[in-house]
Amino acid sequence: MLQLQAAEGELPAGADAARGHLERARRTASDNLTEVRRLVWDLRPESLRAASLGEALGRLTDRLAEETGVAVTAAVTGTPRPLSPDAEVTLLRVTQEALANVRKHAHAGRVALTLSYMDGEAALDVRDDGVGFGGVDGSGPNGGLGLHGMRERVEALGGRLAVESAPGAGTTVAVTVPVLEGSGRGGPGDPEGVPRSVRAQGGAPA
Amino acid sequence: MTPIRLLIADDHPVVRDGLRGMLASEADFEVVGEAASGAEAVLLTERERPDVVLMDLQMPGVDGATATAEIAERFPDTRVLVLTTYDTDADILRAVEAGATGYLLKDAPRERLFPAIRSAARGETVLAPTVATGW
Repeated sequence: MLQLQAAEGELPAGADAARGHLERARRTASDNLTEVRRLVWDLRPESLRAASLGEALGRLTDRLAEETGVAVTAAVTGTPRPLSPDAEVTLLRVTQEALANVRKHAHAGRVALTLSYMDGEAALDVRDDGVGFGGVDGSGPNGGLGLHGMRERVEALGGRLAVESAPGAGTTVAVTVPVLEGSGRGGPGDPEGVPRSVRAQGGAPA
Repeated sequence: MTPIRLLIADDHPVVRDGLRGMLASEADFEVVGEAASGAEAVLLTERERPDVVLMDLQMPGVDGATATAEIAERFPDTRVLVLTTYDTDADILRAVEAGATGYLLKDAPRERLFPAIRSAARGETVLAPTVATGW
């Protein structure tokens, strides 16, 4: 696939026929890979995938507690189930940013993390009892710069990111991401129940 | 403009060649090394101090996630961008937990790969937009 793309890039201007062949070859290879990914996804044990995010978040909070002495609790509520890889990576990255802010700025005594699996969405809250900061939108001078960068990624997933804070009143970072349901697969192989033939339309030459 | 210095870590020569070929078209990218294993990726990062390592996950010996952890720990100025074949790979989460700035699928088109590398160089999170592109 990479080789095809590299070849495409080296074609002289005007080699439209060759470009068309390469594009079709690339698309065929891409479709086959998508099929394989779909199969691999279906073969994964759901319990294993569902557990791994909670465990990763638990390791992050454990490390914060060990290294700073802050009292940290981490809880998972609802029935864990696999989210899309993007959603899981996003929740992990938001947690990393939130805990980094706690480390650097919060002077907190207690931190509580909750991951909640609900109907249609998963929610993550990271709450501390530290000094807080003035801005409420994650762009304040002492916190949330990394979180600010996360916001558009969360929104691109169809989720929301909120940072609530006031001087002396601690900080809460709250993020939700949609859970892909329906069809009983729960994976990206069938994100919205849209027929594959519809999704596959991408301007490819017929 | 100072080019973004890149290290390619992948055990498949054909993938490294393909990436190098694609990246060569951009004036702001400079490939400073190729590694065929996680261990080699760490060694070359130490020697070349690249801005971004393009890291495969499935490699013999020291795997990509393990190499990512070591690079993030020892060379915090170097960003790691995971390039993986399967977005179901549990190692993606492990690599991000270890400090990778994000991940992309190996068949990402250049229009996605190039901006992602530039974002990673700035330390921004990169995600493979599986939902947006409609699997």
